[in-house]
Amino acid sequence: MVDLKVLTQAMSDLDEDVLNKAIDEVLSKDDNAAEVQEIVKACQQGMTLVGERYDSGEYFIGDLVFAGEMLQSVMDKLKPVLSAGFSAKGGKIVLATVFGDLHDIGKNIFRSMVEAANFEVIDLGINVPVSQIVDKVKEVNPDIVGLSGVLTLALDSMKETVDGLNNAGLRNKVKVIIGGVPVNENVCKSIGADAFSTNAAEGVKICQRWVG
Amino acid sequence: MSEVMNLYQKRVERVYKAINLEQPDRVPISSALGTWSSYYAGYTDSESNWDLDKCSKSILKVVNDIPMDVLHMFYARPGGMYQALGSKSFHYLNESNIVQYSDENAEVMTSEEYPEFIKDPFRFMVEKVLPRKYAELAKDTPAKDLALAKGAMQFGMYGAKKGAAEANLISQYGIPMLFDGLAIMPLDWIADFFRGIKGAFMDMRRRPEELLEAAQALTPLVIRFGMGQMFSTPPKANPKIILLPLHLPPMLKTADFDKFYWPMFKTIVEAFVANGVIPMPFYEGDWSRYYNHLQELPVKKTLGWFEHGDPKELKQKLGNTMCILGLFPVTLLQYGTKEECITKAKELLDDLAPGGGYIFSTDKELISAADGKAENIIAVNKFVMEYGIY
Repeated sequence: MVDLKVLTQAMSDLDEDVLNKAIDEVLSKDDNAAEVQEIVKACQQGMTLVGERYDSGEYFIGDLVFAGEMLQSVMDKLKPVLSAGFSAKGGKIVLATVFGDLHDIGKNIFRSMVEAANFEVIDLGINVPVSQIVDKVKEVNPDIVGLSGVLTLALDSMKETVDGLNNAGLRNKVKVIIGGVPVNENVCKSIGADAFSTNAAEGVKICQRWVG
Repeated sequence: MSEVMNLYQKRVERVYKAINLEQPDRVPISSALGTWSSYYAGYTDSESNWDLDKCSKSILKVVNDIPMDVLHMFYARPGGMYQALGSKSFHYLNESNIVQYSDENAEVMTSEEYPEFIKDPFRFMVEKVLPRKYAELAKDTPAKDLALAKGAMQFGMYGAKKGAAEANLISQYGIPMLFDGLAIMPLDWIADFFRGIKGAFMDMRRRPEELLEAAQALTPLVIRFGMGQMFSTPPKANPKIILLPLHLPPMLKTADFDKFYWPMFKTIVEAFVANGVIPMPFYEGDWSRYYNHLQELPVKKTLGWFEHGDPKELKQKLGNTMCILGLFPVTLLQYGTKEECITKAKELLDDLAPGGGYIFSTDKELISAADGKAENIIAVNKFVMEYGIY
């Protein structure tokens, strides 16, 4: 049995070599399904620590991007072994970079952190039109809609998206969180979102409070 | 001297006194109205890039309608040039949007290519990067030579329009333009144009020494490209100003900044200063961790445009080193009332104006149609002109 604490620590320290070595060792064994599930949990805990280290000012966005990539590559490796029994239970989020904006670095950081916090994320990508978000919300009935953007013009798109949810009668069924460089309290109010954050770790906490 | 030229002289003097950390007659106002100007004049960004006369007209319209001392720049990207070269990098999502750059398309160099890049970055750019970014340059001779000639011709036309617009600004309105060129720092260049931002963050962990050597190898080229722009624009009575937009530093751990960014940045700033050029870094994001670093920059020789920060702390830490601009939130111009905007402007002036060394400006460039209501911008600038008298 691989030492799960070492895995959590390696994820938290962004030590890719240690993490990969331990995972490859487990994958080389037979009948490892149970252990693989434990590994996923250990990595998710490591990711939570990454978020805390970001909050405390030890890590910055570059570290979060790298952590997201590390987690992604771990999940890709483990996927063939992971049985259907392992599912996200935290809640459901429809996530998008709003139309008119192509920037997705912030959105991707948030996605990896909120996935690590056990949410199911339906990521619609970049430059996503209002209708696509509204249709997806109808289809999957999420708890939360996350709207991201870097350019100031994304703020108008966020507002139109919230209006679109309103017009479709969906607004009171979901919480809306907006994120990205230009968001602030003033903007959040004007757009009609429930919360805003420029910090992915804080955004995750807000989402956890909503579904908790 | 004509009345307009008199105004021009006064504005230039006001700005350069502030740069020299002295107290002018009043706080100068620099307007970063960028592509917002197109929409304000009834065009789109795309129209202004294809028809440079529309960009020139927009610039003249904003300085006619909005009180200011200096306008940032001629903002068009010459569409004809990008087309002639077959650019694959810049996108319009639709006709009314602004031109954008996506990280996916930025990744045109693999991490295995670092050794080749480090050996001769200029050769690598010409032979490898450009053909990958510009379809026409990937063709064989003579097609690529023809494309290059067409691109150069388009660029020449762009330069002529830009020069004429600047001359008109001065002769008709007495308004100077703030900067004469732009340079991208080595690490930002690698991230934005060769490896993608995500790719650069991966390289920082997986190939740190190669990334560092690549940034070092690019440094002399950044200086050369920057100085090339300074030499190719008409001479000025005062030192020319070069904009240095800085992207990655707030995203880096301080230890990574110290290793991959700061030494090259400092070398480049000092080289421009030694050549009589004033660097104007745009300190994107939160730079408060790096104020001690910035105290090492040549005194009275740079302009610091700040997006974020506590004005009191900025003034206290950097007021004796550089002239400060920025901090006024564009989002307030967009969503705030006139009164809220003026209250904020007053706060900034109270903290930053005393003793001089301060130019009023927004925290970032205005780019889209909704960025800032014109009535708010006009009200704020008028207020600064009255309240900012020394």
